[in-house]
Amino acid sequence: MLLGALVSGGPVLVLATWFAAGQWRYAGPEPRAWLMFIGVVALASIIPVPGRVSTWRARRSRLLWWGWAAVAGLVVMT
Amino acid sequence: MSPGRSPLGRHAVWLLTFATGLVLILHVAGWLAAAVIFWRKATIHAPRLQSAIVIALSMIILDSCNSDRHTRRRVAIAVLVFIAIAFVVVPLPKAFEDHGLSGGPSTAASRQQFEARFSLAQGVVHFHSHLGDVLMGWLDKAFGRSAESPGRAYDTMSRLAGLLFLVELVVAGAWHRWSREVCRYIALVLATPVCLLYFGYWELGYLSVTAGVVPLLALARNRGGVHEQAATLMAGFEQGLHTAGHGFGLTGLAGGALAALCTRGTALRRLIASLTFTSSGVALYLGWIFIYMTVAGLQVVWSRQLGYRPLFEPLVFDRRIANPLFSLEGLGEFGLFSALSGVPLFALAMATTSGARLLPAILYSVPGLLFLIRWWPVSAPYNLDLLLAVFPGQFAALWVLSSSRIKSRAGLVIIVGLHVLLWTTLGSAMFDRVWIEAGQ
Repeated sequence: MLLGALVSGGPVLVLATWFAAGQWRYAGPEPRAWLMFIGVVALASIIPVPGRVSTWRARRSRLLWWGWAAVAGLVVMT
Repeated sequence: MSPGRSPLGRHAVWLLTFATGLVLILHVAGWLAAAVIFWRKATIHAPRLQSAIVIALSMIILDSCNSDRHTRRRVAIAVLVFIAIAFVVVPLPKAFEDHGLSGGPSTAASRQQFEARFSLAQGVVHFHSHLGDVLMGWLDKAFGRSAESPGRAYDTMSRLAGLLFLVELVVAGAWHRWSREVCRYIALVLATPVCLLYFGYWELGYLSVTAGVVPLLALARNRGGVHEQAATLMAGFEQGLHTAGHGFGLTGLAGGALAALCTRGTALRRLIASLTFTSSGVALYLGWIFIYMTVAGLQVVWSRQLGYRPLFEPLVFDRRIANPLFSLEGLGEFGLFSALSGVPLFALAMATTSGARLLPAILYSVPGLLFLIRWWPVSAPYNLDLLLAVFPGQFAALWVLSSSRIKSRAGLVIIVGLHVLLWTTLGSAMFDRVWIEAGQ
């Protein structure tokens, strides 16, 4: 249960802490470009498109996936 | 051609697949060598906004493939319109991490340099990109032959080429009646790094790129009669037009002539299909020269030298050191260029598909696979127009991968990796050329 909550809330927690700590201001262009890249792609993955499953659950699952990708990229780049 | 049956003998197909597999092993060795060098020297760079846009739009088309035909068509066309707007609104930067992305800015730096490269005003056209040169000359004239006109000509040319690229995808989509397969193909093609060149890249090599040929040849294989001939002719015309734009289209012309042999029917019919493709391609590749000479009174000159990678000993070419293929640096450089040009997509297609469906893709890809081994790009890695366009087999691979939802998803994952590789290469100045100064 705790592990499940960590997996699903983890990216939001990590990214929120990262921003709250003011890292966006000090991060170089690469982490910023990475977050911008992930942001655009994640947005495209949740907008309603004909033929795409757009339930709340499906969107949450996609966002989670991209959230972890964002965190992994930040870890590699910083 | 019925699924599972090949127009060539079973042994010939097996031998061809085996030989291509051997060539591919050399490419894989190159990727491993490149990975070692990257691990030691590179700093990861994130893909920029233009990459994010093409990947995001590609995902939208891929997901819409589950819907009905009418909706698929609407979504695909809407995305193509959106990407055409993005080509203009979100231009590529001219430099990245203090390195120019192309040679175009130095060519456009002065009228003298521009006219040395594009000599239409003096009545001279360079053969290697004759139609591209003529169009650049016209655009320069249309923009007033001023200090700024070369830059505007480069910008406009890139967007016009992008528009043609998209129109050809629409033609392929319409001809295939917006099937799921062709929509997945359009999605994957849009995501490839080659699309970045239409965001205002200042060179001409992208003119050789055409993604419309492979679906047309596939159509010619699967339908008989007049449809087969029309699709083959159209494919040849497209390939010829792009080869006239830039000579790197020759690998596509050769590949298309080989792939056209996979048509259904007798040996004579297959030969005629190949000759139809070749003759229409050559007509639109070289037919222009007749017009230049007789109507416009232009002179066509050959001014380019292709760099060839040495095998065992380093070589100095155009005042730069070319590392041999059989050295870590040389093999790694070859592996990087192979990966950037899309060979991993071909490897994925080969690993996940077998039988008659793969054969045309192999035949279409072989000239590019072999050319990559010996080609030594002089201005690498900042001549993206050639690096990303040198392997037209990536489109044949994408056609194979578009046959299923899972394969196309796997293809998209590889393409995202190629975008990271591309920006990391540019940002880390990987395999930047070593210049030899006079007296050294």
